[in-house]
Amino acid sequence: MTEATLVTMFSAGAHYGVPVMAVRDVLDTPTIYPVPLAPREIAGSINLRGRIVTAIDLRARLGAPPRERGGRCMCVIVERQKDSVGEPFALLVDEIGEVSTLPANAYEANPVTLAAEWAVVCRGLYRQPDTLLLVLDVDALFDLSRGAAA
Amino acid sequence: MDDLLREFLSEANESIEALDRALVRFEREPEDPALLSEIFRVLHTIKGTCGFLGLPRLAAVAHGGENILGRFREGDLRPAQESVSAVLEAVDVIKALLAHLEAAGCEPAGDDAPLLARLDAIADARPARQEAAGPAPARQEITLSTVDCAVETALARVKQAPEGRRFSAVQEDELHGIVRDAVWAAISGEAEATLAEALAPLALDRPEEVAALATHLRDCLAELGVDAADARDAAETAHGRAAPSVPPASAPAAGEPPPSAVAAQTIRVHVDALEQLMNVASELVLIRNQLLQTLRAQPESPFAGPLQRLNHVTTELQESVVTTRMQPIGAAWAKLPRLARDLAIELGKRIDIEMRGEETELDRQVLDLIRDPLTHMIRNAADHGLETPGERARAGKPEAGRILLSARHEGNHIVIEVADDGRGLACSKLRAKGLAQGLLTPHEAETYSDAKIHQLIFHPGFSTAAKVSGISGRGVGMDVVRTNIEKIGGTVELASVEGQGARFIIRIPLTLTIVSALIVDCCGERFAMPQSSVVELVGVGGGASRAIEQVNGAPVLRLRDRLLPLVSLQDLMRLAPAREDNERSILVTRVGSFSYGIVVDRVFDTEEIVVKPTASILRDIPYYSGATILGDGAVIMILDPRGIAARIGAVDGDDAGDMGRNEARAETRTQLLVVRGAGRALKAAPLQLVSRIEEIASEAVEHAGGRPVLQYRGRLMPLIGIDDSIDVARPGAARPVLVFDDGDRAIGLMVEEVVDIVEAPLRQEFRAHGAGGLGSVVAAERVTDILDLAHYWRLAALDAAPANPARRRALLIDPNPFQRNLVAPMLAIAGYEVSMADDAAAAAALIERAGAFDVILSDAASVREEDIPHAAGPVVALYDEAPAGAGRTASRFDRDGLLRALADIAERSAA
Repeated sequence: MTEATLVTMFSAGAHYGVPVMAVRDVLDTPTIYPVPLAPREIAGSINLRGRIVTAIDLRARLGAPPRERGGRCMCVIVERQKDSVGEPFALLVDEIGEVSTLPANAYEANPVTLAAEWAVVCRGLYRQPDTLLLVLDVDALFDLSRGAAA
Repeated sequence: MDDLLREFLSEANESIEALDRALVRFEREPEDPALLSEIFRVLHTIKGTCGFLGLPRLAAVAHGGENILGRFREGDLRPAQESVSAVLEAVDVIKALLAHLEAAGCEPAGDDAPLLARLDAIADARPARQEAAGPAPARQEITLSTVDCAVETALARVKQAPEGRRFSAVQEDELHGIVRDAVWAAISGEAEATLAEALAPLALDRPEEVAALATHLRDCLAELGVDAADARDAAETAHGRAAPSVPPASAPAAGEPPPSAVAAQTIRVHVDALEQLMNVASELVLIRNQLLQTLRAQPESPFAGPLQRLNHVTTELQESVVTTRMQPIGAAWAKLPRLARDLAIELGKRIDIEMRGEETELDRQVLDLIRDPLTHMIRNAADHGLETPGERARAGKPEAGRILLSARHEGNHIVIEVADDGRGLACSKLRAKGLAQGLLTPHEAETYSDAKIHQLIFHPGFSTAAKVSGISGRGVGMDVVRTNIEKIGGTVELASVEGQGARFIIRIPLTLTIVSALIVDCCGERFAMPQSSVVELVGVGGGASRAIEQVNGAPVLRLRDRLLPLVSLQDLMRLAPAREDNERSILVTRVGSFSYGIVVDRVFDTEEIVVKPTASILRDIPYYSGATILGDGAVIMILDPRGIAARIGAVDGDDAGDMGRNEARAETRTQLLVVRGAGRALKAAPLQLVSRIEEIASEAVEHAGGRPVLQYRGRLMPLIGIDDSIDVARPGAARPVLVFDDGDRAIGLMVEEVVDIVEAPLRQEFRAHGAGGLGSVVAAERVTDILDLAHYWRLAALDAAPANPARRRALLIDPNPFQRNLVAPMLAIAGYEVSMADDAAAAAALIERAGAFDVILSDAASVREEDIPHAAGPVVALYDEAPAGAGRTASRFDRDGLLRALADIAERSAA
């Protein structure tokens, strides 16, 4: 991993980043329509200007305790390329950070001790002065068969 | 890549596709001059444009092909397989070049000399009127670009002239092309395309311009150093012919519109742009709905009028946008006739391909995705399915094999069928192969129904082709087809009768189309239910007279003397109950021939919804067919009636299909009439054996000889209770009586209640308990006794032999005692003395002991006809459902059919 420009976000106290090129949109507390029988990680569907976007809760995905009901949440719309067809997904997080360019020398591979369900969705991390910024692998994140959250 | 090139590519690709098809047709109908002109025109346009864009290879190949077509047109070369193949080959090279051009932006390096030589050789096969023209005539240093340049200048000059205004109204590119082609044709000595012809539609309008154009052209060509004589020739051809071809003063009345006007009717729009438009329109709909809602609160608002108009316009806009994305399925089929032709030649077969419903429209995205699977299926049909002409002749079929492609709309699906009349799937081979490849256990190989065995061909790596050909047989086939179709939410079903062909039925949802749906509420969640599968709505509980009943814990609804199995959406979706009362609505839903009810809390109303595909992450949930956005902006899921039906076990989820009319399924399922006697126990008889159901009041029951009888249709019919505890003469309400009739005699079985008609496999089998039962099956999740009709005939004392001194003897070979017992009574009633055998060996032993029989009935699934001793008697093969018109067969559940077959045999032996 080299220098990267990431959109940063917070979820359950941890700091994450997604490559800026993958992010299409950011919404503030959208209405989420639940989908019965959907896997636990799926918060529901969002109406994004006439497009139906499935929302994945990062907390649920990584096994963190659920957000308080009715609270504020931010929604990062990410395009996932599969079979050369782009499908938008929404990632629910607590708070959105900023767009920041991170130097290559701050990059670290996943520590070997990282829990398995995290390791499959993280592509390493960047050392920050006060936190560690985990880089999320968007494709892995939306592939629920990978790294089933505990 | 510049725009010009891109446009050329998309246009050329389209016309090339049409060309394939037209050529194949042309080969068969060489007498159709319009067709030939069309082909010629397409190739000619490509050639012209290639020259214009500086694509020499493409131009040369197109020219070579065009030469042959020219000979066809002049009538001095007959279209034969060889020559048409050569043209097709040229078309293929053009395709390859176009593909490379698209990918790389330039023509690939290479040499087409061998192909060109062959094309020329064919074109020269007969003495032509002139020397074969090479791709670029060498006699002058004239190139297309020279001509182009001249045409451009000439056109510019004409336009500057005061009378030239007319031309500017016509699309300039088009005009340029026409003139350039015509001039080039004139210069290179091709007689067929003249400037005059090309300009005729224009000349019709204003002959002066054409004349002026010709003059300018001559000047320009001369300026560019083209031989003056040639140039003059060219220009004069144009000029000379233009004048007389103008019909005096008839211009405004000219019937045919000029081609340029037609071309201007369509423009190319990128799909993304349409998609974007669609989304914006959807968004507009939402805003409109919000406004309308606000308006309802303030009816006096001055915005009321404009808002109503906005409402209408928005609806109209949305509808128009949706239709722009639809394309006829014929677009995906365009390549198939060519494919079939090539396969036919390669395989030495004769193949007729027939298409129906080409105009059926579906979303273009879906269209692109089914192209490959369809191609593959045609390959399969041609390679595996159809036999060689010799084999077909021996099998008594016409020599030319037939592949039928058809498409139709069915509900919110498009149904595409690919059928051939070839050899069909050989179940015995499939079984052996499945066993050999370890896909089946020996037990499964033996017991699986044919329909289940057919499913093997969808297994990855499974191939039945005895030899691997270049076309198919490598085992990467049907599984890919199925995967691709399922990827877009479709299903593939298969029906095949060995020796008669195979039929694949593909059902694909029309994604992104507007569907009429019922919006229902269950526990506060809303769902959309496609209205096409809802037969009716029934209210239960609360003030309604009907109520949900329980049968052994399973909810059912009595609906017009039928029991409807119910599914609670609340349970299905694992929702938390939101209401205390028991007032519910039931959506009576029909999937194929199966009906069931979905219990919901409330039905709102019908709404036209825009179907959006389910997110890939949610496709594992089988109960949704998509999602949609409602008027208020809410996202809700669309229920899939088939998926839900599969859940309650009515239809196999795997090959859920409208199997009611599908041979593959019918052979394993039988319609059963389920009735109830005095107790709770259910009994059933194959519906086909029941002649009628009557309601009989006790007053109508009389007694004769101490037995209850009924005057029925002019004769006395014994009346028997279905079990001992039914008192036939009990006064009270009328009760149903099942009438079994064998033509001369009838008996009536009185039951307490007719419960239902269900479809169930007559395979599972439990020991019979008590008289009157043959054994039990599981029908609609309940254990049901199958009635032993012979028992009742005996009870009615009618089982005595009819007055026929020489009883005819029948041998029934069937390993399944259950099936034997179904058929034997019918034979006995028909006056046969029935012997039974488990298998062919036992039958042979019996025949040796007892001699020949008048008729032998053998189970088609387990007994091979050739194993039965030849002289033992005429053999009737018994099926669950007999294939139509295949030798001497009968269905074991079709009493009348069976008796007809027997009568037929008796007649023959008497003759």
